[in-house]
Amino acid sequence: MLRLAIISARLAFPLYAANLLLALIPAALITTGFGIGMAQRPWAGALLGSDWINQLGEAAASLSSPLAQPGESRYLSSARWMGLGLLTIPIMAVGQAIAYTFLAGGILERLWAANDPGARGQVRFWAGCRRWFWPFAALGLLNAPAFIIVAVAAGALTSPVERLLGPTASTLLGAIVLSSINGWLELARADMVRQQYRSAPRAFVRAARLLVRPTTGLRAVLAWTLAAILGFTLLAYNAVAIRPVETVAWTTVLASLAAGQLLAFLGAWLKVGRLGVALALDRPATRRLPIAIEDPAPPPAVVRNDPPAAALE
Amino acid sequence: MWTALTRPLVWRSTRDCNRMSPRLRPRAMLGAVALLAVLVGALGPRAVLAGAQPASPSASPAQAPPNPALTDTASYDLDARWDHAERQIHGTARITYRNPSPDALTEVWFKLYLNAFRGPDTLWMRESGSEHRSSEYDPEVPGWIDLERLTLADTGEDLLPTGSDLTDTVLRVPLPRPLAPGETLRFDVAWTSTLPRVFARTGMADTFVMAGQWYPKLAVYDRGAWDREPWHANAEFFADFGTYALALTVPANYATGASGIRETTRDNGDGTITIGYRAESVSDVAWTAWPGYRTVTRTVEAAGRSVELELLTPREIDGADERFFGAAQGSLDLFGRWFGPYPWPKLTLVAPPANAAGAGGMEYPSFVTLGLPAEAPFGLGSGIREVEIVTVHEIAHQWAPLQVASNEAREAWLDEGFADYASIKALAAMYGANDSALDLGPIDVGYRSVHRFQFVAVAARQRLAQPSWEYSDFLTYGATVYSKGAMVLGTLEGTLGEERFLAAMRAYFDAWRWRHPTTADLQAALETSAGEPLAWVFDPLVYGTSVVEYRVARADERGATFERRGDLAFPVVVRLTYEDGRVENQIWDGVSERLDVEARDGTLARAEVDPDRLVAVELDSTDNGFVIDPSPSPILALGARVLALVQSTLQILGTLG
Repeated sequence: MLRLAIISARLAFPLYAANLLLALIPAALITTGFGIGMAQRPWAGALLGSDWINQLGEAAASLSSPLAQPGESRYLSSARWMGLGLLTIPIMAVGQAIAYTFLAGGILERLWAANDPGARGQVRFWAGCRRWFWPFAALGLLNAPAFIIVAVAAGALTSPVERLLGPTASTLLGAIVLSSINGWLELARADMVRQQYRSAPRAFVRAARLLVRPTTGLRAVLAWTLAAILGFTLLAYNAVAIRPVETVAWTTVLASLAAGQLLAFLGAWLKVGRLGVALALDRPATRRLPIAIEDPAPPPAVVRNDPPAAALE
Repeated sequence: MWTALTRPLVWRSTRDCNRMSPRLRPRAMLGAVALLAVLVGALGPRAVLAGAQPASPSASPAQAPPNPALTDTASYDLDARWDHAERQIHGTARITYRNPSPDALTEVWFKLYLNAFRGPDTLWMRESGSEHRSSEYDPEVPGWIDLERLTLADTGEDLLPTGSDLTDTVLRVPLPRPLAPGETLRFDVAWTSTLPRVFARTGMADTFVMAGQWYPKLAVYDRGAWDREPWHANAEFFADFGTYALALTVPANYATGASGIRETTRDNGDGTITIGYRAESVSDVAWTAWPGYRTVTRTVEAAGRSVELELLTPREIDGADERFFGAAQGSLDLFGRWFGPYPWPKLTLVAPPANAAGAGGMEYPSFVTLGLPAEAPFGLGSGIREVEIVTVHEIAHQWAPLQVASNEAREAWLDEGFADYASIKALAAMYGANDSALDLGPIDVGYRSVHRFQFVAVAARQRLAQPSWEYSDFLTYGATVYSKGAMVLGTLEGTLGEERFLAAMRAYFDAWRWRHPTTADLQAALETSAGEPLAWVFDPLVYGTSVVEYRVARADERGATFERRGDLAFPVVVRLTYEDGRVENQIWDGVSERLDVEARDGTLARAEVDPDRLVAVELDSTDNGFVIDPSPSPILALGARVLALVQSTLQILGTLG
């Protein structure tokens, strides 16, 4: 377990690094906006405290006050930078998806090799990334609409739960359903790698067939429920970790940075863990192991006792 | 701090700064009053007034004195039977009216509020666009009130007018003989009220009933004139005080709530029960009935008095009782200490069901309608303080207008602005200023911030002291009377200091309880108690449309420049903070548009104007301070948090499947 944990943590690092690099651009733009509008205001530090929304509300109100400058104002410039930063987020999300598509192949290959040492031999990480990028890209194009369609359908199912059991139960159920849809798509990815084929539609179907098997399906739901709980915990802790603070010493800055990056790394590690779960769920489906198996001993030669034709004459 | 330095201020009038003072009147009116005085003296009051029929006495409302404090002007002995099948209230009443004025009255006026819902073509509907808050009028289920009988109780004389007047929201009823000052008249009335589908605070939804403004109400005669204004969409209500007795007959399986104390319950043996309520010194009675209520009662202590609280909620809402009771007890106690104890023995709190939300958020004497708690996962619903906000706001109304009964239609800010000023204070005291509206972990919103935003974005250039129907739309009306009203009162508190201002408000309530004050009366009461003139606040901010805005235009180690950008010069504190920690405060009267201040014996670190944000009506508080050499750490810490949030977002969106 420890070995797998270490391996998966090492595999999470490229995913985390890509995530960090992509997030730097929007974060820098938004932070520049804050700096332009607020750096020399006494209440800048209050944005880190419990008053942050109230302070931002005051700034927003000032933009609509009857004395607001019709042309350039400090807050308008600030809002433009922040708006630009927000607009880059969807673009960076596409970049994140491309990065994940590229890295997932190498992650799955290395996890598979780690789990079954004799299975593939030593597959290099980056070779795996390159090998599976285009098939996973095709899979990714199918992922998004499939996710949306199934998620919407599942959302309709959680409404009666809310009426019966309340919003907490329906939120948890919704999180488990989303995690399961995610898991189904991860299973498709894992099956492609383990079975060594490149067809995305085939991967969807095979993953679905795997899940309808009672043992596999049950294991899958349990695993994805646990993953959903972990993911939810990370998300909730994210909110706590960035809780308001009232003083802005340099140690606060470093602590804030460290906490945020730890959570981001844990998020990447969780994703690698989910891919490992997908590989483990895929194991019973293995029909053809792409490992070198010693050919079985040839059957004994059949000795026929038929007399020679000449003897029959 | 600046009270000792108060001096006459110069403020620049804009074309919008027209002073709407009730004290200004044309000379012709003065002449008429003088002539009337001569005639009355020569001929006697009856002859003069008989000759003046049918118009009311010609005394100018502005010059006639207000009525004294009376709690028996208009008393109602009501009998109401609810007919669910027809969605009607069949009512009869004995109305006792005592002329509270020094004038002989030749007519009375009634308010028939429900007629506003007769159809889409009424004045109310045309003004509202058939919408009220988030509810829409259902033309298939309208409402109205049919007056069937109106007679003098003592003589049986029929007073019922005929014609189309009966379908309006105001009704003039000439009297056969003038009613002398202090004289009492008793009317017997019979009517049928048909309730609309729940809309604009009243109506029915399935088996739920909320009856507000459901009976013929006598209008107010004060300062020499009747309130004859029809009911407008943005306006609320106005009535005199009296004793109300209500006998309410509903199906036996209904739970009920009403203004006042429940005194009797009688099983009629025909599947109905009759509940008797009584309320003294009140200006209205409302009631609700529904078989789906659960009722919980509790007695609390508030400002030294015991008050019985009765909470009616839908049966399925059983986890929020403490929120309702906590908000009620806390606000009753705070308001009682600030403005005078709650005067009635009981307060009924009603949370209508979800399909009758339009009945929520309204005040009646000793009876308030509220809203349902918001639902959110993991117990976060308790951090959405809608329950607390509505409860505290409606309870604030128990003081204004339900004790000091200003005309809610003509000067709505006197009760709505007050209610939100008081609510902001009470909610901050009970739940914290930064999260009194929303408390969801790191997401906190203060109730004051909500009003600040509405005031700055919508209402800053609106006039407070104007009739409700003169605002251009509901949003402008709401933002002005609620938010600007609250900010102006908050500014007065900042100006006088909290202790002096609360004492002045207490004096205002003590002077005008059971009466009908105007904005001028509020100003006079505050000035008398505070011992200083306040026209410099009222004239530009209440009667006018001036705005207050200051900023730090420039600051460096050697000094700072402050600018006044608003058209109202308002005394403010300017504060210089030095690098050695020393702080200098001075008062700036704001008369000049610019103030240059030099640093003395040190290096300036920070310059601020109104640093304690005492001037609640200032438009932009974010430019009130300047740090000369700021540390980058706040922005970097913000950047670290933004980075983490963006990373989480990208992980969620970009690693699907």
